[in-house]
Amino acid sequence: MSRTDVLQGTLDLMVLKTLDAAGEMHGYGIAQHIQMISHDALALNQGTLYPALLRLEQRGWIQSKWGKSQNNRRARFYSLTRVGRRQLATETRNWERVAGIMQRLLDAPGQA
Amino acid sequence: MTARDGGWTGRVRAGVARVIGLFGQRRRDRDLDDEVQFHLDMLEVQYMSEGMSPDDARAAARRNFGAVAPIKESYRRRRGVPVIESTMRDLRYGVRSLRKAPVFTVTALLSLALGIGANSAIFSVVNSVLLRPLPFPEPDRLVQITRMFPADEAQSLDATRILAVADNVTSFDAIAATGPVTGFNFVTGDGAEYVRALSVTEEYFDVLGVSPRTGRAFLAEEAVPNGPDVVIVSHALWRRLLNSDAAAVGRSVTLSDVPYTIVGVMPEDFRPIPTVDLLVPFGLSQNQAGSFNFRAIARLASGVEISRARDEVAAIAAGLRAAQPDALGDDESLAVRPYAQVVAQDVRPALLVLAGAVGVVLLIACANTANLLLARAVTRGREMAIRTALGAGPRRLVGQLLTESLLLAFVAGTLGLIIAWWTAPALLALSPAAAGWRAVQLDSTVVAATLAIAVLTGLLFGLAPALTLYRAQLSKQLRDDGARTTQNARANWLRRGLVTIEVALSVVLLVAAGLLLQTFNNLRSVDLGFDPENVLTAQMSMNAARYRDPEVAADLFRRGLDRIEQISDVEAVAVVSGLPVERGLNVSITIPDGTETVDRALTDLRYVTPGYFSLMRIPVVMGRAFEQRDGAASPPVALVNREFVRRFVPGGQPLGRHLQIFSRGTVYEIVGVVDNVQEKGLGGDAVPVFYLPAEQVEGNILATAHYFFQTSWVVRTRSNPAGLAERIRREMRAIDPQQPFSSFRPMGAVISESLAAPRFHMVLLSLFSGLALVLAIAGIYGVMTYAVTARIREIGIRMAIGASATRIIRNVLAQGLVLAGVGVVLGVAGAVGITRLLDAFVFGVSTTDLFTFVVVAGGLLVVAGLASSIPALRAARVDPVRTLRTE
Repeated sequence: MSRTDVLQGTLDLMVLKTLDAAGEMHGYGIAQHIQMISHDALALNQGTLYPALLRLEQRGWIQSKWGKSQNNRRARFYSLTRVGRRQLATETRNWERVAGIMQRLLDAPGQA
Repeated sequence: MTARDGGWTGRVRAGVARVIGLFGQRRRDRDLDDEVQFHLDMLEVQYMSEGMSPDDARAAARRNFGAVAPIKESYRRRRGVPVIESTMRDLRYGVRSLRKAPVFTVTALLSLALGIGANSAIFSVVNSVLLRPLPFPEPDRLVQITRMFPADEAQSLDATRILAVADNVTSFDAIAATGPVTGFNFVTGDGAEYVRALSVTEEYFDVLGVSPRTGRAFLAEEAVPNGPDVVIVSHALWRRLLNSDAAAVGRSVTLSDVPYTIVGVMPEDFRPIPTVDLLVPFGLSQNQAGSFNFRAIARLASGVEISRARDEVAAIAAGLRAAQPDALGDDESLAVRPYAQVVAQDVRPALLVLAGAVGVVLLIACANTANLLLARAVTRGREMAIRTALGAGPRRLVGQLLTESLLLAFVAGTLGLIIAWWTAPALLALSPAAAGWRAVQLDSTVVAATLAIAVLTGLLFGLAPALTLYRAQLSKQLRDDGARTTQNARANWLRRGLVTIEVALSVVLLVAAGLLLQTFNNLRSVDLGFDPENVLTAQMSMNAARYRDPEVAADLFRRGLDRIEQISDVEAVAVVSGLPVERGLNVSITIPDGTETVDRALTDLRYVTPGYFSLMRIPVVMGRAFEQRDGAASPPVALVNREFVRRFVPGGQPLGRHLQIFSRGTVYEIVGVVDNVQEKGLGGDAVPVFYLPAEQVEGNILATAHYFFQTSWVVRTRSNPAGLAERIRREMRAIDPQQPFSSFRPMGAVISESLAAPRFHMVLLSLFSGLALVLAIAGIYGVMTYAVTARIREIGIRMAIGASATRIIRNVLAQGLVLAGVGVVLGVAGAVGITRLLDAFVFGVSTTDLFTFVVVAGGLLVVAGLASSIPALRAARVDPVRTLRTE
């Protein structure tokens, strides 16, 4: 099975979108969610999620608090902040624009 | 396009979060561990539920998660600020490594702290005296007009010059004159106290930009010749002698017999130059022409450059010369200089020399520390190599070393500040009175300057070792066995070079100190011309209207001498209008008779009571001294000193000749010649002086003398009795409670005061050069010890193949002496060039004094030899067998 590398910078957007969809969630849950949505097609070292979570939290886009997981373990739960929600909207627009450009570029007829 | 470019608010927030992240690291680390462990456990459970064996599940979880350690590391890096964190790490590491080498650390700290502390202390004086602006509004606009001669500059002017400038100048907002400082006896309830007063013209307040806090400044009609008796008092005097009387303005106070009305009290922060307690008004008139007792200060009009004022004043001087050809001296001109510069001009050269000297000490301390660090860097070669192997780049290592240096410098700077804090008061106590009008203090400027010096120092001494290391790292030193032999040749040369420089700089300082030491000794052993032993002096101001009557003054002297003579232990007592060593009244005299008449010759006048010469043991070399019979009613007589005869009586036969003061009034017959005594400080050229009997001086001359100088009573005692001053004070109080003594000083103290400046220079330069010497010697010792340690194997081999111990010793000694020798040669060359700066400070010794140079050079070589002899002896004790075996 060939897996796609996570494009530089897109991890942030994935995390934001995941939290937007799922509400409060811990790191493991976020990772599972991303893997599930991508049908395991992404080559994601789940550990790399954590520096990204920290980065997003430092920017004020997500917040975290400690709580109990379903199996009653101490776990850290992340959720979107209001700023984060706005950021997600911006990022989404950006992404769609870039994707659109790429699409048009690739759709253009080739020489051979 | 991505989340990373989320605008500046996000970045600021992240920055703040990172700084916060610097704290509570341990808890955060634990949290991260928990989070990661939770994730791994969950993955493991997931895989197990998918049917994997526990071991496979764990392995799969790890695989899916990725390598834990780098993720944690990258997480941590993101959490804090990398530069700060690595700096903190460097600092912690630095502290640890400094603590591990206490001898090095203490040595380095001590030498740096002394170097920095000395600089800080001197800088606090320089700052107070030369750098801090004068305590007046817009001080940059204050100037002083002075007379200028080709050779020199004189500060004071006469009325003609000041009035000419004041009447014609347009560059100034205001121009004011001040008179000489005089003294009054301020009458209090039960007695009187001596206070100092400055006479000022009306514009004084406008020029300085000050005004009384209560009351008012002087009015135009008050600042005129023979104006009303009004006075403005200082805040300190108002508090001390007027009990902070809120209704002081308008009050009448008695100053030496005369009632004055207080019209103002100055604010507390008013610092007149020179320091006085009272301001009294005066007006300039052409009557005062030729009396150079006035200073002119002015405030430049706003926006006017000093150069324009200079041109204008020069033009006025030219106009004055054109109108009256003899109004100015032949080669005289008028100059306009910044007031601050004139005020500090007496102390400026000395302070600059001292600042230079102390800077040299710091340079030596830097060189020394750099040397210590170099030696350390070499022995730390292995440590550095290991850190390199673990991934630290050369930049990180250099950063680490510089951090250590700066840490060292910073701690030393703090210690230095403490040293300066301690020594500044002592420095102040030692410093000549000229600087006394400004408090020397350690203000924020000094602290900032000290820390700046410390940082600069740290970079200076840290850079060389760091760069050496950098180079060594680049040449990959891991491949050989540490740092023993040839690869450190460059560092060795650097170390030797540094020590040589240290020695050279020390030589310069030692020579300077030697010259000043001799100067001080020469001054102290100058033949005074009198015997100061067991002589107590007491000063009083007789600047009072009643003493214009010679009979009243004579009566005070007679009664005072009578009573003081009665005190047991008193051998003799006399009065003199000005003590030797201190200044006397300068008058012009005429010798009308004889072959060559002398006209308007400037000489010093002192009046004395008859016992003066025998009391002071001033020998009479011709004719006779004054006697009791030389009273008011007997023929007027005078004594002259030998210099007077040499200068004004070419035939050498002064007896029977006559002299007259200011070409008028009493004609005195010269009846005797006394020996010269030191006048106007020690070591000056002999000054022509004539003496008159106190009872024969005319009233106007008495008044002039009393205006400028206090009268001194001199008392010769059999022993050195305690409490004598109090007894004398009591006797005088019984005669006239309003005629107080202002000070009691043993004659020895008077002489010692006159040596304050040379003593200050000598003590400081001796201290600095001593410090320099110790540092340089420590440097030689260090380098030679290191050289022996580094070559211990070679020495072992040489001994094994038959070199004798003496030969080894000779070898090491020679190396040390060569280092010192090169330094001495360089230093001597430097000193020859540089001690010329001391020309103004030396007395009785040439600045290229061979003796001093030889002693310093020889002494340094001897000490350097001693310093190298310790490592030399150690080298000789090397056991060849053991050395070779351990290798």
